[in-house]
Amino acid sequence: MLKIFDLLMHLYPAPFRAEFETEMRAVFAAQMSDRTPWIEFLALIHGAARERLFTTTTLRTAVSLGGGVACAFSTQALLYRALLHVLVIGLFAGVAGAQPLPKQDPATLETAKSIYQKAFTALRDAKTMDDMRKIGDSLDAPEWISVDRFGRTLLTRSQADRELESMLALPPEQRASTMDIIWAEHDQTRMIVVAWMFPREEVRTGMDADPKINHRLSRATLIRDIFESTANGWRRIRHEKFLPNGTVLAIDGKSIAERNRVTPAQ
Amino acid sequence: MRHVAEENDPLSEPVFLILTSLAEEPRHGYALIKDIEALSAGRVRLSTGTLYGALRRLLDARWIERYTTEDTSRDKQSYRLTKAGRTVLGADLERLRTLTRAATSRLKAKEA
Repeated sequence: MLKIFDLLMHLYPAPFRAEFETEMRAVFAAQMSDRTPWIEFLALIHGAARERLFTTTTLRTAVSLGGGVACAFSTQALLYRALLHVLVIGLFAGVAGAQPLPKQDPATLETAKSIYQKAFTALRDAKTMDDMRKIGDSLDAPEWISVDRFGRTLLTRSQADRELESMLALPPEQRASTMDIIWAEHDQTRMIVVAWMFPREEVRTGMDADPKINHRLSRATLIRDIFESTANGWRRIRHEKFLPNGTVLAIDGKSIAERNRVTPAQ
Repeated sequence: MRHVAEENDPLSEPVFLILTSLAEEPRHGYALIKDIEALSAGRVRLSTGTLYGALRRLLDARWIERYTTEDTSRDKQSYRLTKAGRTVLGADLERLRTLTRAATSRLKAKEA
């Protein structure tokens, strides 16, 4: 990646390079751990085009990428915008097949796994109402809500606490769920977790003309939990369930959704 | 996106955030990017190209200046706000305060 960076730096005017290249290289290298490099490369091309075309203009030449150009440099700025668009379109066309895979941050994934594992374990081991209330407090914020796939509120925190307490009647092994985390990500204030909830497989017959043929069904529901950063750590504020419980996702390993693929009309 | 404008014009968001970050203490490039990310609650993540383009213009305007510390090296140059930069930032803050007051009073009047 640094080789590409070095190449792109040659797009900048020499005085700019002489002044900032070493610093920019160090910052670019430091950013590589948490940034998509192509975005950085596009910004370098954009920056180089701007520096090339506006090096000679004064500081007070106000330029707006989105809204056009102020004052007497309109021709130059139009050229700049045209060049920029060509560069960006060309680069996108060139790298469209080489987009990096979305990268799951392992630390966030571990954080999410640890939150749920702690809650599931505590749920299984709870013996008293107080134990159940502590589970709710350590996982969910007071304003927590659960919404269904239409965005309607299904449960509030107080209703969920009552449900938790009623779970004491269940045998410990039936209380906790399992989940397969698909994606976990956070910014400064929020963390989201997208997961298959209650994943299970079952064998079913009678789905074809021949009633003896077995099929392997993969079932689950899709959820997204949103957590907010608090003084006591991450607390869930919203639980969204996008599919009915036990939705069939695949039959014999083949995705159901593939049957419903939508493409432009021929 | 307006990077550096006339002193009476509104500052672009990257410039406003760079000046705000440097108003606290001198910072080098990577520290600026991280601080701006935190200041904007993760919404603004300046790229290297955007940051240094803006820094070059701010240096030219003398709103910021290079700042040498004991650990300054060629790849870790710090920048600090100048008196002129502080004045520009203060003026833009005043402009935002005025706008905020006006918007708040109109919203309240509408709600009432």
